[in-house]
Amino acid sequence: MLHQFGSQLIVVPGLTLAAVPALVPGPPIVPGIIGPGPAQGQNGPGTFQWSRDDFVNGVLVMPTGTVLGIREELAKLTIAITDNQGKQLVGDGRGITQGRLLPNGAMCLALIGQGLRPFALQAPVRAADIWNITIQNLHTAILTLAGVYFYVEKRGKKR
Amino acid sequence: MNGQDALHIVQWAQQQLVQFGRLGATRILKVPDLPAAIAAGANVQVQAPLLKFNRPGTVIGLYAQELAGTLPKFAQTGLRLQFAGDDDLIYNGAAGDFASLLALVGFSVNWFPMMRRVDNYTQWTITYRNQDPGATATPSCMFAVLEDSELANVAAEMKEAQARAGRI
Repeated sequence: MLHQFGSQLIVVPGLTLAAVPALVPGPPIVPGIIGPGPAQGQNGPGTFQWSRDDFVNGVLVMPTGTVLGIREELAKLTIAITDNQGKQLVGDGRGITQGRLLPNGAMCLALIGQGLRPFALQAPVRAADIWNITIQNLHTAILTLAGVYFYVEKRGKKR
Repeated sequence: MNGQDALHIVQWAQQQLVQFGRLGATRILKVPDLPAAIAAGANVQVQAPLLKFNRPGTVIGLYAQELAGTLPKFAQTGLRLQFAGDDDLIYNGAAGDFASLLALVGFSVNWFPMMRRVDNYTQWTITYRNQDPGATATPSCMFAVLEDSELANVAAEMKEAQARAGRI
């Protein structure tokens, strides 16, 4: 898989073995209103700065599976990614509207599947580009991430 | 870039996605969430907020899941996708219809491959259906989009991949 997806695996620091706070029971979160901080069952936005020019062709979110099992934990995690220009790479396309700070994340089980394959999002990146990554937990208990990974492929190099 | 070249590039990206799981979308567009879970029942249908595309491109894949993540919930939760007018993705010969998430994405929760052009004004209607009389359903749906503005990048990647394979 690594050979097919890229020549290197980049680990997003700070999100490895990070506990994603639980969704606070109570009134449902209004779609589009995602507050910052752990009170909303969210880990992020975490900023990830690229250190060199690369070509991203896969993203993988990996929970530990210790609470519900991998499949069901993936079903309850979402990921949102905004690139250096503020463009939503993963989001609902409605843009930043009043009251919303971040795009609604995409559901990880749908993107990654039971086969735990990186979802094929392709994006060139430059050194010093900064991506904003937000992981949201829709479960009522804390879930722990094993990590968030980018599969990258260096342009112009033979595999 | 003419239409034939663009189609060739999109088909190549689609082939890469299907065969190797690599490359494909330049954006994942999510259908806005339902305001609440779908009530339990034998045939409860709820329409999601309209999905509005704001850039021209080609939709090459559909992703879907139900929040519980279990096979029974995937089997008991359905989706209907209506394009503009009376054109549906899923058709029963007489009208548009639903397909269960399990049928669309399978046991392994794969993507459902598509090939559909969209532009700045395209709006799709997604309707979910819960057939579980004992529990609510919270489905989600997303689309993998290859935007026209990114075709040049994909074309460059395609040429590089072909060069590596020795076909050029």
